[in-house]
Amino acid sequence: MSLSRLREQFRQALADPDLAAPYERATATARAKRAAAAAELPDYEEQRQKAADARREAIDHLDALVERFREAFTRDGGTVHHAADAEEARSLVKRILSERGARTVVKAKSMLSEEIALNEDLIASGWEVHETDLGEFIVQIAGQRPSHITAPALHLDRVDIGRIFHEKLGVDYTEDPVELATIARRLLRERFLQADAGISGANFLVARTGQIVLLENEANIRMCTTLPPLHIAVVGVEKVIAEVDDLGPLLSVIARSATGQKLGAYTSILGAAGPPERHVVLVDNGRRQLAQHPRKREILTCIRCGACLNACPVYERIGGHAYESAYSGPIGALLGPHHLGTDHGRELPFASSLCGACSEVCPVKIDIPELLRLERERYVETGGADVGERLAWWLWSKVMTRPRLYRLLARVGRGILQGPGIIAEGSSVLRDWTDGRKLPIPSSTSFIDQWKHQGGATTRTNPIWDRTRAQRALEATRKAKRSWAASRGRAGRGKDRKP
Amino acid sequence: MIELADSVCSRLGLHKSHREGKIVPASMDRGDRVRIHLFVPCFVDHFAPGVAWASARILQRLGHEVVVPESQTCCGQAGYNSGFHEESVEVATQWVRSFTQADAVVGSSGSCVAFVRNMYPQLFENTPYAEEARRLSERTWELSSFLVDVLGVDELGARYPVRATFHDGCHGLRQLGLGKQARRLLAKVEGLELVEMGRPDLCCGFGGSFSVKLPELSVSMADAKLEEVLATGAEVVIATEPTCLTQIVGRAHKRGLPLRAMHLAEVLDHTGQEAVR
Repeated sequence: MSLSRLREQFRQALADPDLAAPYERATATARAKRAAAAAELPDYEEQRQKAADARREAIDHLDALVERFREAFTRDGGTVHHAADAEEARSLVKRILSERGARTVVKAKSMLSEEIALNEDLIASGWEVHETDLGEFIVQIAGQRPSHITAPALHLDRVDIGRIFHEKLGVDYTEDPVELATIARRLLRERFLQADAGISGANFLVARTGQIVLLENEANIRMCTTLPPLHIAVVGVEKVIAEVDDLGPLLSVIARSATGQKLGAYTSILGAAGPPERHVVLVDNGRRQLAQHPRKREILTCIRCGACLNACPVYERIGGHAYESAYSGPIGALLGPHHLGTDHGRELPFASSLCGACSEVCPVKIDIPELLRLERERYVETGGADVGERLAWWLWSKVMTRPRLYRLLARVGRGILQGPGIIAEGSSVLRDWTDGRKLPIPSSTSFIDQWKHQGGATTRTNPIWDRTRAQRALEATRKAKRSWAASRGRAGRGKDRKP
Repeated sequence: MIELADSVCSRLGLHKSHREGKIVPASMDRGDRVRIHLFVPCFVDHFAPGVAWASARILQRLGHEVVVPESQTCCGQAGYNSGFHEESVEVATQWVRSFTQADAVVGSSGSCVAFVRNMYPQLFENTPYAEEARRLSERTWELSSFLVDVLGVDELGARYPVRATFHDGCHGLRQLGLGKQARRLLAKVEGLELVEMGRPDLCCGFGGSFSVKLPELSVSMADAKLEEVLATGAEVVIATEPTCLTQIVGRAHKRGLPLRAMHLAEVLDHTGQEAVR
């Protein structure tokens, strides 16, 4: 995908006059609930810091904790599998299901299964797969994709859902939420009882105790993970945390951030001992490589609460599907370049005004704007920017360091912009701005020229002495960058490539 | 903010007044003046010189000396946020060189000031400018913060009878903690009725090169912001961020809406004696 394709994709989303309304409504409610839930906890900021620390600590010791989890989970009778990438994860799941003769699967909501396109693969290979989270259930029968990390059917209102139920399930049309839920409940109950296997994700894996932690409000996860004789948890390796004690702050901030609740209605902490027979498929899919980057590893501390989506002014305009990624919103834009959730997400970091509303609410304090900016740097370094843009910024750096030339060119530029009709009609260069907005008319004289003209006091720099030092500063920057690039090359080969 | 400003003040030769806990320059007690280097963001220089004039006049009226480094060009943020790191260091170098003699730098854009304050130390790490960049980053203020947090002034004798609303620029708000200072200053403007938006902190959608890389999205965000502004019934939208104002009012005018945009400095400079733009 190129930046122009991303732009086209967004343009199409924005062309739908009804698209933004449900996102605006739902995110506004979620924002208010989150703010209230955070405000009612006197030590919320303290809990948030503890949660952030616990996650950073876990990512810093990822391999050791994963090993500790494996030991504990295996000791108690479970089986741990390692999948290097999406394909291996899917194969492992299919193998486990086949070996147990399982044909019918009930699924708990899992973003990782979206990331690795598990449902599509299982269904194509002949399995019967039923999503059991109400939102996921609706999205599945509608033949759509989730539009939000925690609220998959956020883009649909009850009228839409009534129609989908009527068309796909053959029930009488109703838009009454209670009736709709009852219909789904009746259908799902049968499926829980008939299923050969349950597949879930996990919110956390506790390394010390070998436990799987799952949070929910509908009890469908509890059904998926306890009723069928086989339970497979397909989990990203980064979900591991060191101790049960870490759950204190983490559970406190995740529910408040996601739904404004003190705690989810159901918190399941499952050990390996069954029945059912339990398997954990730990999926890497590029995560360990990301964990080696000194700064970007912070992306892996994400606990998928969705608060950044609810806060994001971009997400509420274009919705979740325009990202063309399992993960949308600010966190989706950070995961995209690492091929997590999408194969064409290189440009997604540009889908942000870097306003910072996301990091303001992030319960584990991920500096999302700074990380997005780093991904933009990476995009430029790897040849993503076109020749025109590279030339433009190169010229910018040359002109802006030559004040006299800059002032001369600026005067010419202001003159051109003041010329007849250019701003009003929009020249091709300026059209990207002027199609939607009027440009202000530039001043005929700059402030600094006016100031000097009126005898205001100014200061100057010594041009010769300074240029030498500026040159040295630039060289130092380049050198730092080179040694950084070299150390990166050594630490993890092709770390930002698709595994 | 007060604590930070306090420590900087002591280095600046400023001291905290005992009365009301306000920070006032020690030199002012002796009738002397603080020498302020005016940081004129490139956009202001060419498109909104009135903002720089207003800032200069406000500071001068408070008895301070205003000087303008004429070799300043741009702080370098635009390229930095677009992913062009090296080019930005080069441009930022020009800024450091231009302000190298300054004890106090005051600028009229929260975003540009946030870039200098928060990013310069890491941008110049391990370069010959490291020390100076760090020093300057601690001595650079956005105008409303300098007035309220450093000088402890909120009454400027401004009079401007209008129904207005205030937009929080994202970088000023989230990187510098701005917003309360401007509101305090606006509360003292005679005749001005401030009507708050439901979401004063909603991004206007400008975002530097974002506004032209994904223009349809940027404009859609401006429309969302305009809804907020229009709901207040304000004739004027005020901000401490010149580019946000250009985005908001540029969109309003494209849609034929009669909204006006004013930088906080222009409002505060409205004393009835001065002609504004």
